[in-house]
Amino acid sequence: MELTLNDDQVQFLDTIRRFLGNRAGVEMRHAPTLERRRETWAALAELGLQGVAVPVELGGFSGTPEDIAVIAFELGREPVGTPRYENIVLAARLLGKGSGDAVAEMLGRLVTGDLRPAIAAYERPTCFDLAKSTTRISKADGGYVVNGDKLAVVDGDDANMLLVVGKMEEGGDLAVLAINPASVGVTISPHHLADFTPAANIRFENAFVSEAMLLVSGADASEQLQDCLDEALVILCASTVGSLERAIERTREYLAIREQFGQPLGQFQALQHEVADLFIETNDARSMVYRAMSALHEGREESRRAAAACKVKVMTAARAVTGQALHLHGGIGFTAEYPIGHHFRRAFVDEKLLGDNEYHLERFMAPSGDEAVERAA
Amino acid sequence: MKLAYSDEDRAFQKEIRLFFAQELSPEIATKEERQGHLRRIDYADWQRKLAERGWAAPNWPKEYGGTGWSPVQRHIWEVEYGRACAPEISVIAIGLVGPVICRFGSEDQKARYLDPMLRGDIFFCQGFSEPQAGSDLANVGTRAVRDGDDYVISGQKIWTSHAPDADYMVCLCRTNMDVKPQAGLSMLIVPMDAPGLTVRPIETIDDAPSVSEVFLDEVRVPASELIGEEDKAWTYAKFLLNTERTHNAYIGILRRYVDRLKRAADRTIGYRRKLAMLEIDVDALEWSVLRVLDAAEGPGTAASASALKVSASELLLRAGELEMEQLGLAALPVTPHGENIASYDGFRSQFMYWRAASIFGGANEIQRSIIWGSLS
Repeated sequence: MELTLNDDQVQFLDTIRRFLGNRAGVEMRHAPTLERRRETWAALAELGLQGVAVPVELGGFSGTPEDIAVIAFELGREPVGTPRYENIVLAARLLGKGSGDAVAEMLGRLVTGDLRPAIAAYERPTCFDLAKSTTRISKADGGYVVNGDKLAVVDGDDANMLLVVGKMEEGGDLAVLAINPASVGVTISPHHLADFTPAANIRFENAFVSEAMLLVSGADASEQLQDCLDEALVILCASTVGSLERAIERTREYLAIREQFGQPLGQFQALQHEVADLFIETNDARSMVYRAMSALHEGREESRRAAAACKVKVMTAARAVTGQALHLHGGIGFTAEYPIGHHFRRAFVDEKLLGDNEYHLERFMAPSGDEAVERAA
Repeated sequence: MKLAYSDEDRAFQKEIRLFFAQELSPEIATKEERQGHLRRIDYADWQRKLAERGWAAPNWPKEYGGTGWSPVQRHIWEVEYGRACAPEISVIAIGLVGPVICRFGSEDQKARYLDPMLRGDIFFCQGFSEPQAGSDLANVGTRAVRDGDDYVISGQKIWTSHAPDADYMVCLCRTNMDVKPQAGLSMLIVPMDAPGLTVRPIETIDDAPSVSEVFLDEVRVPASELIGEEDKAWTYAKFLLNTERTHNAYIGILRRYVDRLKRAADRTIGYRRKLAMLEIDVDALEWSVLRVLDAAEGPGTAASASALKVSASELLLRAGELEMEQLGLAALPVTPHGENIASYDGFRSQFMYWRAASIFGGANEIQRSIIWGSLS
């Protein structure tokens, strides 16, 4: 085990700091324009960050969860206009489950920034158990047809590849397919989320996909998908922690300049101790991401529980820390102009993406293999 | 960053688990778990076994009897130690006086004290807090006045743990009145049987023999019992804060609580959710401890160490509260300390004792101020 960053990771960190530094003062009051997003996407690819999770043989970096988390921690510090890195990683992992030249080609295009993937997984507002997916995948001549409705698909408005989760009509196993959003039968309703993350609701009506685009399938599909989702949600949590750390810095800075009763707010011990509490929460949240990353190297039982626990811990902290950081800013914190509110919005959205706290706490509390057997006996 | 446990780490974990299984007597483990506040005589045998194995003081430098373990190994040790319900041995000698003597003590002190400390032949208590120097430790008023080859000490200490068991007290004394409070303090080793020294146990809400007052009335100790230099004790205390920065995280005991609470019968869904949240928070704290063990010295690390202390004290209370909920009325009857190991007295006593965790070792508000200071 090694807690300090290795040379590659230090380099990633420097790269992102420079990248974010160059974008200082970016307009935050609105969702980023399409042009701006494409530009960001290309810039990340140029810096080699799109392909970190892609195997070296295909032009990527074969990055470990730790390499990826280092990037996510840092990207998360600026909550607006930065891509949701967990989705890039999730796309790479899901594509990595597929086979054939077409899939390899897509992974190559992910590295160059040419592929803009979106993950179409969830369907109902409070149902995060994909085993209950109502999206149907039926066998058709030369491939499959897909029917279903997907909610809040991040980057779904401007994707050129949709990775769709559904259930095989035959056998009922889960499966993941790659569909071109320009296909007949795909209807995209764009919007953006509460934190300006671009998204879309997407309807599939008899949308056809060729056989080669089936990425994950078979009896083990739901476990394989869960492996990918668990890594992605730990990466999401890493970016949330980055956002919390930056929110605390911003609060500390604000308390130093804002004066009331003839002195900077930071002179008041009541406020100092509140900020200390935010640090304590965030420190433990960061630790939880480390723990979950460590567990990703263990067996499934351990990694499942740790990932679920990580989401609960980090998002509970996120709600408290961003809410209180906003409060400590007073009225200005309530304005859309000031950055602290964006940390709050981001945390609000993060909590619901890839499963909310209720869902993950239930997962965590579900009896593990041995216990389940014991109880049944 | 590479966060998987290595094969060597796993092998190490296995090795110490085996050691606990073979060497820790079930009677002592049960007593530690169900009663707490073990006396020196209870774990003398266990301490000898640890000393023979060379594992009595993982926190000491290797040349003085430490283990030379990596931060990860120390972490595994702390967690497994708590889970096995092994009693903490000579906590003041091993955790506090030992490291200071190793670093600042004279050759004579090292020769006289270190080995007997490891074996448990001599036992220490800590004389830091005073009625007027609690959180404001620099306000210590106990005077040590040089008189020929001796110091003459007068004053009062309070909240002294383990005093009735101790052979010596490490005593924080004022040796200089003419400088700012922090700059006039010294550390002296005082034999507990010295004329003029009196111990008076304090009754506490946990109904256990946990703390005492110690009165010093012109207690005479040779100047050779001064640790390091006169007036430098504040520096040594800061050194201690840094070397023992994970001690107040009680991570092993928290893990033990989670294990025990999970073994007990299911209660309501509300209870199970509280227990799950506790387990999640303990999981997180475990890695906060590891991060602090691994970190280099600096303001960020000081803040993280303070964060550990606050988090741990709150988790200990939550764990104790869940246990009391589980026990219900069975938690209420009181029998004299240690008389009925099968009763639930000890669990209640520990729950009551953890009320002190937000107070001792620097009250949580002191820790929050340290954190704020490091962010500035």
